[in-house]
Amino acid sequence: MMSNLSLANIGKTYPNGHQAIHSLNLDVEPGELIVLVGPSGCGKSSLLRMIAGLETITDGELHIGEQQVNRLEPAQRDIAMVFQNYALYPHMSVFDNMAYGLRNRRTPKAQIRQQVESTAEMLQLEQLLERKPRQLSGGQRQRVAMGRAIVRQPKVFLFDEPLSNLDAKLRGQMRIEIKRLQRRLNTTTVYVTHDQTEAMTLADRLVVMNAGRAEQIGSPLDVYHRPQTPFVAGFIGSSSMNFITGRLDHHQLQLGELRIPLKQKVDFNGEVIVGLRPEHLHRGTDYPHRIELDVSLLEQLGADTLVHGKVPGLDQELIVRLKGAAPCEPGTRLSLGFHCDELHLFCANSQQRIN
Amino acid sequence: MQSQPVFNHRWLPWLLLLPQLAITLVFFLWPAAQAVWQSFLMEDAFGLSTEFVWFENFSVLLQDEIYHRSFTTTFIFSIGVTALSMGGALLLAVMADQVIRGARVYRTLLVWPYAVAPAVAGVLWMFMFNPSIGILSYLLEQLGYDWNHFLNGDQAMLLVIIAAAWKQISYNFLFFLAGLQAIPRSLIEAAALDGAGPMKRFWTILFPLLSPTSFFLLVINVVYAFFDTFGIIHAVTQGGPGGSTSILVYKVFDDGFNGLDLGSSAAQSVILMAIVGALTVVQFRYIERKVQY
Repeated sequence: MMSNLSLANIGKTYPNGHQAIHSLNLDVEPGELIVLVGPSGCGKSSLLRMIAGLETITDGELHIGEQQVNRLEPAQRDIAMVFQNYALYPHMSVFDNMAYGLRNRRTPKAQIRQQVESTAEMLQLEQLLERKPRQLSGGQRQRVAMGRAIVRQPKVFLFDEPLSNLDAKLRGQMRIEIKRLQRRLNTTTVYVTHDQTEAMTLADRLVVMNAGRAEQIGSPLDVYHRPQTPFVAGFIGSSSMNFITGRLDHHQLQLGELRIPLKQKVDFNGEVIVGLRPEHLHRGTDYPHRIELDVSLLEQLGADTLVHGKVPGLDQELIVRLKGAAPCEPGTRLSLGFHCDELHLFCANSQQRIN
Repeated sequence: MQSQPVFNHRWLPWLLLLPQLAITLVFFLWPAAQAVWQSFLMEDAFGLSTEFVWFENFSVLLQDEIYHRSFTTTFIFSIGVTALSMGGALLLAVMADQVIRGARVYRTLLVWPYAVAPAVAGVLWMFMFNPSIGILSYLLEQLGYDWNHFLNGDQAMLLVIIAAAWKQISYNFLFFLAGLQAIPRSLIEAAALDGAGPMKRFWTILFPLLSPTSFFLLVINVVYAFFDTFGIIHAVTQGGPGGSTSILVYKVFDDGFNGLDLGSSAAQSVILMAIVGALTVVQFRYIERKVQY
């Protein structure tokens, strides 16, 4: 079912004065998959629980479809949620777990059976309908939890870190399965995770959260290529972005002894934080700017190698991601090149992007 | 992997067990054996002569109307105590589970009655319901209800049930509360999202998940009502009026120490022992299975 979800100036202040969510605005298109991502304690789970109705909203308005739902009980909002620990009813069979919500809504018996069975088929759970949750593996429990959400055909799906209890391999599989299901059902979805790979691969749009604020809202690639703050830049991207402090003076960037004339026009003079992704430093010769790296440590990943080292004259340690096997030994010096349009510039004071 | 400790001395484990074994022997096995032996004997009222009578004490008992009545009384009493103490405790536990502010104070207060000795609990309730000076009987009289448990057997029964249940509520409350808190909050939230109201959530989620706790408490409470309520009965009604609150364990005492019919008293305690045994077997069978969902 397609339905839009809109958050207007949503805020949450606890009775003790702690402000968990600061005035957040978000319009979710019908059928869109939004991922809320951020470090633990950033408020992403609180926000999801506010949408679900499990936490009260202290400021702003929440709409599902045309209806303002701020004061509605969770059951009346027509949403379904998949919990981190699955929250399956341990004393009920898989069938009863999935049928529980339908029974509470007084759906006719025949229809319950038909709906549960077709959902079970979609999730390959037909063989498991009579089992109790404790007789299921982690991945199966996860699917039952999703089945319980799907079977009711709600307006909105909410996922609260649903894959964090699974091992790495299963997590990868389930990620793809969730994506496929969501595409197929075309249900508006809000998905919470702290895992940036999950966030990048699943999202139509990302909401990167930090300390109760949405730092940036945008498509995964947009967020990757044009992070608005150093926080977002550092959070998105596996092996975190390198940050170097420098000065910008009349389109000239000064990094230690390195002086880089910027191609783009940036109207800013003063202290800047320069971000450069590990994958944007290269070995070839066809790059206009060069740095010398004193290699201190190698991490061999097989397909890639992460090279840690220091550039003479710069304080911060850099990480470089190079294709293939390590081209050098620790203790040697490596010459690397980059393009200046791959530099991310942030104002050191306001922490905002300036290029 | 060595998971069990190994003792190199043959006598050390026995030495460590000795205190407990000695206590069991002196305070349980020996008196129990004496009771069994005594139950085969018949004495005259002055304890001057003793005769071995095989099962005569038992056969007399089984044909004794008063003994039958005592069984019925015990039955009513233990059902009443168990239902009231478990129901009350569950209600309090569900409410305490939802208290956020001052939860610890609340819980501590609810646990206090367990620290009160049975006889004291009995006296407390007896004074409140005392027909001449009791505050509650006075209030009942204002409402036009004549309370006198010294004369009215049903009222006496009700009073000892309330007193006995009141004391046990704390214990049940602790277990129910622990049971409730062991249920993940997300289950309740999932049920709320699934459209179940508070009552429905209680009966379809919480109550079934509490069933292992409930069963355990059922056994404990029945045992309590059968055996540990002697002090309350003794302090409040002494089994009266007219034997209407004379439960089995009280009758053992009454027949033995007041009636001086030691043989019958011993036979009754042997029967009680058999009942405890049966209850214990049920309990252990159950605890070995632990969880049934």
